[in-house]
Amino acid sequence: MHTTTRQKIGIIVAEIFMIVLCLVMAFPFYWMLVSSFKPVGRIFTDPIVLLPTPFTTDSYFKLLTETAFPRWYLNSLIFAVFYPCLAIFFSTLAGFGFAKYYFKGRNVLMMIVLFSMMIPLHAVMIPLFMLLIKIKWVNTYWGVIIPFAANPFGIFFVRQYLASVPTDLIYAGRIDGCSEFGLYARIMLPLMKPAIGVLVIYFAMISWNWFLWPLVVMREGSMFPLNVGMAAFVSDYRILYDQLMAAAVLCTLPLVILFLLMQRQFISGLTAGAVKQ
Amino acid sequence: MNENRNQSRTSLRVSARKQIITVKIAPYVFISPFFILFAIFLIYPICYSLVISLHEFQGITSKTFVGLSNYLTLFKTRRFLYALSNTTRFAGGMLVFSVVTAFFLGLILNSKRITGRNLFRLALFLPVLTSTVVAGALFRLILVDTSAGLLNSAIKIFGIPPQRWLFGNLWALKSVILVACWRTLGLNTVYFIAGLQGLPSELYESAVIDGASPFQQLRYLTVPLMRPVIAFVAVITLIHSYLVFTEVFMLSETSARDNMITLGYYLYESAFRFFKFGYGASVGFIMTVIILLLTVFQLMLLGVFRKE
Repeated sequence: MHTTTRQKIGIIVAEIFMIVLCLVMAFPFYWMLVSSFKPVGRIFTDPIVLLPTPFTTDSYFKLLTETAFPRWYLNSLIFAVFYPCLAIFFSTLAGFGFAKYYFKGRNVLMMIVLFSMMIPLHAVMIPLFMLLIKIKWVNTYWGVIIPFAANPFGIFFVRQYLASVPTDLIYAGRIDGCSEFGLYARIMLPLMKPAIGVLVIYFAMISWNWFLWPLVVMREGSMFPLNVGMAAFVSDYRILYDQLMAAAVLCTLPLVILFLLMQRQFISGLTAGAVKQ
Repeated sequence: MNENRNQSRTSLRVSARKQIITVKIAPYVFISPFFILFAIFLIYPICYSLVISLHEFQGITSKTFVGLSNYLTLFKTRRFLYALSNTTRFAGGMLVFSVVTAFFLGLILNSKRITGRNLFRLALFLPVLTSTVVAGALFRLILVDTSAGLLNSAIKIFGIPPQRWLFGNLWALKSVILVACWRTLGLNTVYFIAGLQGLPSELYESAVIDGASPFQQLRYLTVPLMRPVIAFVAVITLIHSYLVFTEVFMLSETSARDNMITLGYYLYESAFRFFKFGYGASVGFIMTVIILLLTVFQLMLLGVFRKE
């Protein structure tokens, strides 16, 4: 295609704009990293010091030895392992039921599932908290995980995925004497691997970043997940910014690594639902 | 012999009937674990939250019925009205700075003539990986009001006096928008890129042959074709904006001032700091109504209710 001078200028302007914008977007990341390696007294300086001088790893050392940070990390890991397992079990089972069987009330129930995706946590938070008090689940892992283990998005996603899997496989399985649960466990589950991969990343990411609900449920510092712990740093009278930034780096690192390794699943997890409606 | 065959036929028939019954029951068994949890932890709380909002609570168990008085008090309380107006302004800001900007970034990044597209996408997407708490902590460090704050020392180079980014009336809410934009811009751009990649290229080829200018292509092809994606991104952004909480929690001191407070924060404060459960539930109900209206609006934009 022939490129006119006007178009060339347009491309150059767009390039410069993108470079500036990306530098601005990436800079806070750089600043987080740099600040975590500075001594706490040298973080706020006028004029700005762009390099971590003097360089120190004190903040990381103190964070790991003097605060409850390792425990918070463990709590977050517990959420990020158990929540995806439970949520995936419930959504693959129900998604399979919705996709491969005809039964009375199927459409109505599916509508309810879809509709419930719109209901915000804020709408149910107070009665849910009162319920947890009644069943003595306040300040427990269950109290955070179980109420959200039935994730409507998971069902929707699995049902969409299974729509493209031929139903003949199920008939064949039945003729060969497979039980109904066997159809799920032995035939469908292996076929769902790509969908499960996307859901693992999606659920792990949202549970790693949970904040408001554990903030309400967890009453003791030792039960906090990472994000609630970091927020507790900020509500302290004197904020230790060097340790806070070290915590932020360690909190973001797993997701960055996961993203760089599995970009495709990451993006499709986040954009599922958006484009194919 | 004959009897034997008959017997095996009956047993076959019985097992076939058994199988039909299991096939009929199986789906209910498969969906029941989900729906049991769903009923306990979603349907019941929603219904109960309406009941709660009509009561005043002393502690957790003793309650008195007060009718709509919680709702009436809300609209007479200045702090709630601040929260409502701040949240609406926040949502408007997000629509302009996160959605419209992302659309144009999507257009730029979808054009094959731009070099370094993958690097740009990566830089835009990295903030999406931070949690809201991390983003809030990070921007607190950058925006801090003292003259040694990063942004304040940066603008000093241009001779601009230090600003009160976090606590002054002028900037407080805009700072919240800035943090939320930084974290969501990349994701919205990814949505738009995914949508743009699905557009049929033949249409653009024939448009070029017919002599359509790039602007005409945008106006008469891209925007109408992208309408479902635009509607989705805009409404999702609005919904999340009406729920905004964490950014405010992180950027304010121990308690948000009137110039930064949002509906989500007001609910949290009423219910879990002052333990006014009934009052908090009525805030939650109003938020839900706003979100349902936005959802209906989205379905209308997508043409769900339009007659064929």
